[in-house]
Amino acid sequence: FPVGDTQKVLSEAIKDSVPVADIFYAFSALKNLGLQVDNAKVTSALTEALKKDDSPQSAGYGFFVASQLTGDTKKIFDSIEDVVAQADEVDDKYLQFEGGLYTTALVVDGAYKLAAKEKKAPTMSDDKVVKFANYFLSRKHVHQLRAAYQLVSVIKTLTDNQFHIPVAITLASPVAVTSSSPNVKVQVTNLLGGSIGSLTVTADSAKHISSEAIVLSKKPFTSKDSSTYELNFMQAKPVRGFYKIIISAKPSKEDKKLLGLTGAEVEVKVTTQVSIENVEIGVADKDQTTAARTTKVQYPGKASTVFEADYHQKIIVKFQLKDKADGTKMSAHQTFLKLTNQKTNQEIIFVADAASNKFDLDIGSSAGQFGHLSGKYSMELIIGDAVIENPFSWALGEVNLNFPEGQTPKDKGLDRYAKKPEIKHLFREPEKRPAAVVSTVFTFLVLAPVLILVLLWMKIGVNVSNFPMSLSAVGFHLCLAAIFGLYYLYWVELNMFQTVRYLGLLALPTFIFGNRLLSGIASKRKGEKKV
Amino acid sequence: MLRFSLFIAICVCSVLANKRTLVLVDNWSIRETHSVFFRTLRDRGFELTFKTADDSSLALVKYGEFLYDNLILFSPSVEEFGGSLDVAAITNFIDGGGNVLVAASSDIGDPIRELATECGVEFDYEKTAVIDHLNYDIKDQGKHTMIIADSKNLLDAPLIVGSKNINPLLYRGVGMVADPENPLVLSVLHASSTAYSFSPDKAIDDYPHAVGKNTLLVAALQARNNARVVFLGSLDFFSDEFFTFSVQSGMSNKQFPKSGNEDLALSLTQWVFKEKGVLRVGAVKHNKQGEKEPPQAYTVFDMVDYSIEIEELKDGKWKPFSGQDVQLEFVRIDPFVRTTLKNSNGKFHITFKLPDVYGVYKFQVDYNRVGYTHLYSTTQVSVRPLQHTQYERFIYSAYPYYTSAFSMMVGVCVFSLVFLHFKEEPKEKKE
Repeated sequence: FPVGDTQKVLSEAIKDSVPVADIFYAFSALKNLGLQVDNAKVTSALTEALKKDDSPQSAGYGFFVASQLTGDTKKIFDSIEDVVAQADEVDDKYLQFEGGLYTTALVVDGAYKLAAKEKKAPTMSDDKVVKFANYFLSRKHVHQLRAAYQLVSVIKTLTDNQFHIPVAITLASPVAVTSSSPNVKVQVTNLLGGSIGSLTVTADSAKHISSEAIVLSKKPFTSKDSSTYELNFMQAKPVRGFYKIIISAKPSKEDKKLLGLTGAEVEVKVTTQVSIENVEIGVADKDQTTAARTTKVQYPGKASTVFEADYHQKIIVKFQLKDKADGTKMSAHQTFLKLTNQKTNQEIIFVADAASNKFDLDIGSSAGQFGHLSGKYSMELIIGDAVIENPFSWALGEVNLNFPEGQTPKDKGLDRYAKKPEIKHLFREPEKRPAAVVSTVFTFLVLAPVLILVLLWMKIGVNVSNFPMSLSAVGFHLCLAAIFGLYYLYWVELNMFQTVRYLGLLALPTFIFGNRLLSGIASKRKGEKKV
Repeated sequence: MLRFSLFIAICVCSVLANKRTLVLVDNWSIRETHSVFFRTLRDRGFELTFKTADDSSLALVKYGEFLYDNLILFSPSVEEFGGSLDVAAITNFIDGGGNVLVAASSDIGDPIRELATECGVEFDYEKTAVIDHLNYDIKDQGKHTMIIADSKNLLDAPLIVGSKNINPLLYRGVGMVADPENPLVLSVLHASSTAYSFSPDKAIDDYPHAVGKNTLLVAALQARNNARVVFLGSLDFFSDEFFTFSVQSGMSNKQFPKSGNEDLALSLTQWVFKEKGVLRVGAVKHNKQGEKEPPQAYTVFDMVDYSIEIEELKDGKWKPFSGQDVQLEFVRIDPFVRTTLKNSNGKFHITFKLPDVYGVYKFQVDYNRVGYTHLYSTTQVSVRPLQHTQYERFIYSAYPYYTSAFSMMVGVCVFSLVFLHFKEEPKEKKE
């Protein structure tokens, strides 16, 4: 491994005009290889580069480099305060830099390493350190490798540096405290989960969040092991609900480094089992307040008869909720009555009156919600609350609802996403034609006049002796025949346009011949008369 | 060289054609808490631009052109958008064809609620959550707001939700309701019948915004211009935590090692950003049966061949569409004929007989199915009545008329001969 060249390359890399990151990598490489480093040159190059680029990320790199330099790095140390001021506060709990996890971890880690070298605590207020710690803990689920490495590094630094050690007080038992698991466990550790020595942990107060009642104060936790502490919460006979426990820890040996020892808040909820009693279901007329006859049902049974109700009646369901632990009456957040149409599976949900735990279902006025669909509905009572351990959905029974006829449910309309029905065009039926016999008969009948003409002519004697034998005569008769022949052709195969064209052609000679023929006949007649 | 580089540039532009995405976040930590989600989007080729929701340089439009094709709103608590962005600008973006993915949370602010109302979905008020006392996860903080949604509550639309055979989903956030009259809103995932949407710290004094199966957790909308919008009430749904958490119900002992969130998120983003379920029309051909070119006008009773090519976008490539229920309508104001087209590898064709009514018709293909873009193709043709030569020439019932006509013609011919050239016998002179 040619050490000489590497030394030269790396030393040359540290110049006045390179970015801080480059200085960091070159410097670290030199240090790791155990090579000679020109401290003064590095210091000057670093200060130059930091002046040019004062982003938090380069400041972080600068802290790392400075922590390993011999010489005066006080200015860089002083800049820690300014760099930390650039961090953004989120949700009042976290402190982070815009570059995200990697940059934040880099800056904090570098600051502590530099502080270790300068043997002075970094200029960061305690609550800022706590907020940084909160941010790092919230980013436990990091997926990026580079950021993960830096996160682990900074957490390690925050557990064993000489100045600030944030203490984490977290709930180690489930949120729900019940009579079967009455203990609240907390873990008091450093950020890596390791013990910080023996402490006395006290619950300063436990307050019921909604009623603000203080349930206990200054109760000590018993130590289970070096970092877990336990307190029997149910001993104080707390009422069900959410509680905020404020915890403080005092180390047996005074240690100024530990941060976050007082005022830690932990939320627990005391749950209980609920029992439902005095359940009554009845059907009454709209104007009455109580039902004449009610059916009592026991949980988890079902009403044996099917109730009948129609639109001028109402269904009344009454019940009472009791806390199983002490038998007191209680209310639940969710007290719903669900009716399910057994045919269409449509669900309609009603909310009970919270104060009286009573359902008053006016069938007539809620007909719209049911879509006016009469039929059998199953009734279910749903009871649930955050502090109830045994929420349930209980099938009470069935009811037959009758809505007035005539108000048919609205036609759902064509489903726009379905295939539309096929349409086949119905062709018009051709008109009925008379029987073939009729046509044949009449065809022959129609030929009768021709027959009569021929017969009569034969009777009276007919001749064409006067045929002039001239071109016109022959031509005319031929052309006339041709025109009728054209009509026949038109019937058989020609179309109108061809026919008219031929007709036009034939019309001319027909006219000329005919004219000449007739004038010839006329003059012959005149001649005969004269004579 | 210049031409080559220009060609490459055009290719790159067309590849990135619908992948420019603007992501708006409340704060920068969302970029890291949802890193897996954003990384998978980047791996699929999306060009993501991150900005905070109140950044004063926000703009969707520049010089009349949209700067982005897709918008991801992971900023539920924003009170006022920055720059030139506001609810009207976003609806304008949707009108211009842009796709939007919106995630809300219990800290929902007014702009997101307004945007949802514009699209036909109503979120509940802020500080409310979807609560389910019978289906909450064991990791819930105590108020039963981290709920488990079973995959059987998903819509039956594999294009939008992928396979329904996924692990249960974790959800923590605000609920919404859709107007049942609105035909364009799809309820992709609804809560179970025991869920409801209310403030967990207040007692229920009036009817909750949403109860039971009406509580929507994920709603989707495909606008009439095929722009797609998806609303989710839980920003945590997409977080790295929820992607990797195991699912265990606080009420039963069933446990699943990994939630189905990542699978559903993948399917939803594939649908909303138009990677799946996009159809387009290729060549439309029509002609008389047996001919190659369409005539100027068809005649009634003709047999007509009609074919249309439909392609579907699959994995970034256009492949022949494999649907079996595409219908053709032959419409002159009302449809006269409606048949299902036969599919042979993306070419849909049919041969049918034209009706006996003449007029101006349209070959209309109007394909509207859940999850697919709306396909509409219309070709106008005229159908003329029969020519005078196309009627029957020899009708047996008319033979009397034919024979009378022709016998008349023969009679005229003969009569004209006789009449013109008849020579009367000279009368015998009477003595």
